[in-house]
Amino acid sequence: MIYHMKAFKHIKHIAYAGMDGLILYFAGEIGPANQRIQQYMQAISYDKPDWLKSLIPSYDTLLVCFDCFKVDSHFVYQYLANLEIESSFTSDSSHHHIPVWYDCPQTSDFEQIKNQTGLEKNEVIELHTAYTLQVFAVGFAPGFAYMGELVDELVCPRLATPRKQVPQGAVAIAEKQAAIYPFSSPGGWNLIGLCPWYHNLSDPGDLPEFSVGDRVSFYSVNEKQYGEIVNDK
Amino acid sequence: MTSRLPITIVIDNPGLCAIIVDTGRTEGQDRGFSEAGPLDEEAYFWANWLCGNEVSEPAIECIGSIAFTVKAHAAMAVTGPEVTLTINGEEHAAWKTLTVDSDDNVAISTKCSTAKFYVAIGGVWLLNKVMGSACTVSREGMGGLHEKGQPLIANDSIPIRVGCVEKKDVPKCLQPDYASVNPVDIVLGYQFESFRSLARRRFFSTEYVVTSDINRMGYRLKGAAVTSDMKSMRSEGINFGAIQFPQDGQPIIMLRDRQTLGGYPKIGCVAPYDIPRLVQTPIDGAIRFKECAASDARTNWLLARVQRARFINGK
Repeated sequence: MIYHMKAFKHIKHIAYAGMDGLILYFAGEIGPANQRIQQYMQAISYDKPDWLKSLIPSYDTLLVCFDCFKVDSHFVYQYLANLEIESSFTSDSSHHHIPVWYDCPQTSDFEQIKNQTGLEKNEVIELHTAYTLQVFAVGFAPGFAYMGELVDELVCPRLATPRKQVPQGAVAIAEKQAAIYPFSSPGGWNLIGLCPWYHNLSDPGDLPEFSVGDRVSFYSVNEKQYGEIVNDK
Repeated sequence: MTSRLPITIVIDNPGLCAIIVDTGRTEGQDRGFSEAGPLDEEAYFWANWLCGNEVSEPAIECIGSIAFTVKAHAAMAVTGPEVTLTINGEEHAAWKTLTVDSDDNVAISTKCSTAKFYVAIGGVWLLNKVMGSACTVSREGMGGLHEKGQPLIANDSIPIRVGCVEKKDVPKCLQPDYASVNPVDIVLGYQFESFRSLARRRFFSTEYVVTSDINRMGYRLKGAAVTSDMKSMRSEGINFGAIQFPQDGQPIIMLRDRQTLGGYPKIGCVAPYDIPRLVQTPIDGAIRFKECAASDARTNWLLARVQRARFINGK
């Protein structure tokens, strides 16, 4: 049985993901690798091959699922290996500017973060708002975007015991990542604020749309501004 | 003005869990929405075919039993393993087209209390869709009759615009062989190289049993522990039937409502044609696995599809 498919161009490894799937592992640093995945996604989506069932991008991987009735894995392998990828990165990815109410009493793990990082609350907010992050993956639940990477000073581990209930719209950090909980759910990340975009949101169709490769930056709002953004929705 | 919807069936007793399913979401997996779809694709397909429906028409996926009252003259079909079906107390066969009339009481049960069976009604189901599908996804709180992801409950009324159909049945040779004890085909892939050859041999040479920790997201099995050398990995896309091993070394087979991304090492995927038999294995039932090349799995799958198509097209 042949398992080894030769890697090509930006791909360091390629593996079967079932009878109807191939998974590509991208070479290089996580940032550029993730952007590369965006380029592959764009090229494939533009081409819209009729055998394509789904594309699932993540940090440094792209899962390509196909219709076995139309093609086999050899065909898809050849297609991917011969795909024309623009060498210059022409991204139509969005930049989201996300308001955060850092003083929200329901999302205040600053004490815990201070124990881990030594940072005061205002320093945490400063570091969280100062840098533009990238969306590396969207998954776990609908609309849950993994954003990274945080600066080293801000890195703190997940909670030892996950919370049973994280409020909807909670802005959170864990390890080198940031995220917003789109719906109330259990979760083990450190909470630092609340995003008004998610206030009383119940229809998944209304979720803010984050795509892999999008850029995000956070800015601070007070309680009054939070209320105004909620009312403007 | 809202027009009154044609109510065709009213649930009397939903059994352990009854949900609306169709062929699953056509989009959204790249945004974290589960694929959804029927656990036993074969049984679901035939139920709709028997009722003259489109292949992606919704049907009810039931566990163990269900009882409902019919409110209109309609075609009905029930498919699944070892089903007992009565209409007004009178026994009828599964795997064939039946006709039901207004006020008929239908009661269905399966020999195994965790078996999945499908109820199709001929016509157009008037349900809203999320990501191209009416599937109930309780994990996400989306889809289904009330669009909040809840299973059906007593007194739920399902609106269906009924159509008329010819009567058909599914020959035994085309029904899934639920009693088969053949090993389940596995296409090696993902991180299989990080499982040492001894671990791989253990996985393919011993029996695993189905635990009670089974749902539409995944089936947890129990048997000889198998571990990978991977210390940590980044979350990546999970295909249907992927077999992942958490630290305890016990396999979990990822199914329709699986999360789109996951970070446990995977040895490969169950071939889709063996999934119906796998999901219908009762708790404590044994399963063996066998390695299968991706190309062989595709050939097996195509042969089954061609056989099905020949029968449907009357050749």
